[in-house]
Amino acid sequence: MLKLSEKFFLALIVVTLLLPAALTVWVHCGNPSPQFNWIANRTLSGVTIKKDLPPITTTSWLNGQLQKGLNTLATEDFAGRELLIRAYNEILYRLFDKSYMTSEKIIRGKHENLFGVDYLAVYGQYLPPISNEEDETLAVMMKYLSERLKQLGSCFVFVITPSKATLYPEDIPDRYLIKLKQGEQRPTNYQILVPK
Amino acid sequence: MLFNSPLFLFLFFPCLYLLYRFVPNNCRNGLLLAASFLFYSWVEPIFVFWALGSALLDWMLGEVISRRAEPNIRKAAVTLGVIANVALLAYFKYANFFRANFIVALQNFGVSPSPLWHVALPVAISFIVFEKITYLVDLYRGDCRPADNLLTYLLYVFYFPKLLAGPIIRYHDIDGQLRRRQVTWLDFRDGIIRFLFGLAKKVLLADHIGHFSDEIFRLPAQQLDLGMAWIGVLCFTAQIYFDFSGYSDMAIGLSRTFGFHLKENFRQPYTAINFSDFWHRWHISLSTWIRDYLYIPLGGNRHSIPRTYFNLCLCFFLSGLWHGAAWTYIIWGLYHGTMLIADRVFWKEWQKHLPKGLNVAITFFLVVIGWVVFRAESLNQIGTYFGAMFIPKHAEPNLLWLSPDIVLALVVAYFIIFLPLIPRFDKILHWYEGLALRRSIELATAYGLLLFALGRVAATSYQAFIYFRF
Repeated sequence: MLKLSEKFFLALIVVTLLLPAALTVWVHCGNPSPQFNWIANRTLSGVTIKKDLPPITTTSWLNGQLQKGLNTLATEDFAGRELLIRAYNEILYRLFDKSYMTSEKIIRGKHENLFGVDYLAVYGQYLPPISNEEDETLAVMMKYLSERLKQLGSCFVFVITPSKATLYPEDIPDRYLIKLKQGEQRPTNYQILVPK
Repeated sequence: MLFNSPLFLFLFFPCLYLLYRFVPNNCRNGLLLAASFLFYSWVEPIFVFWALGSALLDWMLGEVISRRAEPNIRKAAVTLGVIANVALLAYFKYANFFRANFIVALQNFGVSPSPLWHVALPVAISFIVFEKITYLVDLYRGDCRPADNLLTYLLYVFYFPKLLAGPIIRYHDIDGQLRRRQVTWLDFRDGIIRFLFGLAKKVLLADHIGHFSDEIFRLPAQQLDLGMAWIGVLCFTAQIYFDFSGYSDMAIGLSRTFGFHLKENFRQPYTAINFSDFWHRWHISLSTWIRDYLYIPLGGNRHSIPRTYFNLCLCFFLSGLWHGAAWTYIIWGLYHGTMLIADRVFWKEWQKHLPKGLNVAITFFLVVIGWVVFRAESLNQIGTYFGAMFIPKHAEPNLLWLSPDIVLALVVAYFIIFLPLIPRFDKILHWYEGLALRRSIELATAYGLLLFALGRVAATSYQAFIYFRF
């Protein structure tokens, strides 16, 4: 015989597991008002890639595309997902100074400044500079583009923008600057590309 | 479809369970079989037909074994069944491995054959094959009755909670439950608690720690120093335990909600005092399978001592190969086989003079060493990694950082792992088990863990938005 408290928690668990599917149906069929945006996954802005469901055919089932599509749809579109993401990321941020997105691609620097890890890797010289081959290929491509655009009456302008890491080096966490501080100076991609 | 995917958690399981509660008793096996086929064909839409065909063959051979009295015919049927199953496993799991090694061997003689074919490894094939063999051998030995009908047999083979990663169930262990079982709310409560604790082990500990372990194992040799190498392997040690035992917990918990009582697959393995003890605690369903269907038929320890050691080595060689078609797994298996022999030759006697804590520490250290071999991508990496673990060197800086959340996850993981070693643990456990509100506490904890786990499941799959938090 279940105790009352057990029934309460079991009911909570069951509702938590049942609710997302029911709400997803409601969101997609009922066109809820904006006050329910937090359920309908409309609170996080940004660029999204719309993923369509593959055609429901025997072939798409047998090659696994249909299952993959349904999985993606269910994973990325269940009601309340953004709420969970916000809550989880808020906890990670408050407790561990962490910013989580798939893998930890964005980190929190000094003075609340956020940095992309890839840019820090380049700035901190953890990634090798552009190779001669890549450099040559890039130069040939740009030369071609420049000439082609000139023929078409347009002007080709190549802009190299400084990364956030270059602009705010004082806010980069120390652990990303170890290699740079060791004095292993090497030319940056900018310094390599400009003379070309 | 994984147990920790939203599709399973929010749609497959709740819908199936509701249906399961409402259909009449005699339809429940049919419903579970249909759900199991859907579950398996979701991940293996082609191989499911191979598995089904193979299961039908086994069913027919099982009928021959159980109905015919002639020993020769029975023996021929079981032999045919075992060979067909092993052939299925050999083709789908090992063809690429054998072919690659064959090509390397030919290249040593100056011949360069062109690549012929690549066989995709079907999910769960090792578990399916072992269970199918079990049924035939048990029938032949007279250890179990034949399944009532084809549907019952197919449910035994394809039953989805244990299908992808075990525990490996033997037919005679579940025979009675397949025929008749009770479905109660008490079982649902216990099953849900077990499932959610397993989910938390997998999502909050194994995945969290595993991500860091993967990054360390991916580091180039020049960036791997002694500290990082040890952290990496300790992360993997925790990851593999919580990942695998988490899956087993989920399988056992789900089964419990459907009224099945499966046997335990893990029993605090890292508190083992030697390797023999370790294999009584780690992946118990595999070690008992190997003992009953391989080691004992080979002669076990009934013959000479060298023969016993040979049997042990062979069993663990095959156990390594069962884990994966690569030399690293084979070496890992042989390493464990060698350690078991060492147990028998001298260690079990010597260790009597050592305190329990030291025995646990030594065994844990040697198990951890084994995990390096298991985790390594190649034979070269084994050497590099051991070099980093045992030879201090000045490594190049890298971008990896042992962040506080990973430290916390590791502390929690190792606290759980070594909890049974604390003094008077049994008494504390006994006191806890006597608490009237024990299940309520567990349900409340499980609910909190579920929310955290769902948050992580949602966040880790969140790839479509860029810069969404700013």
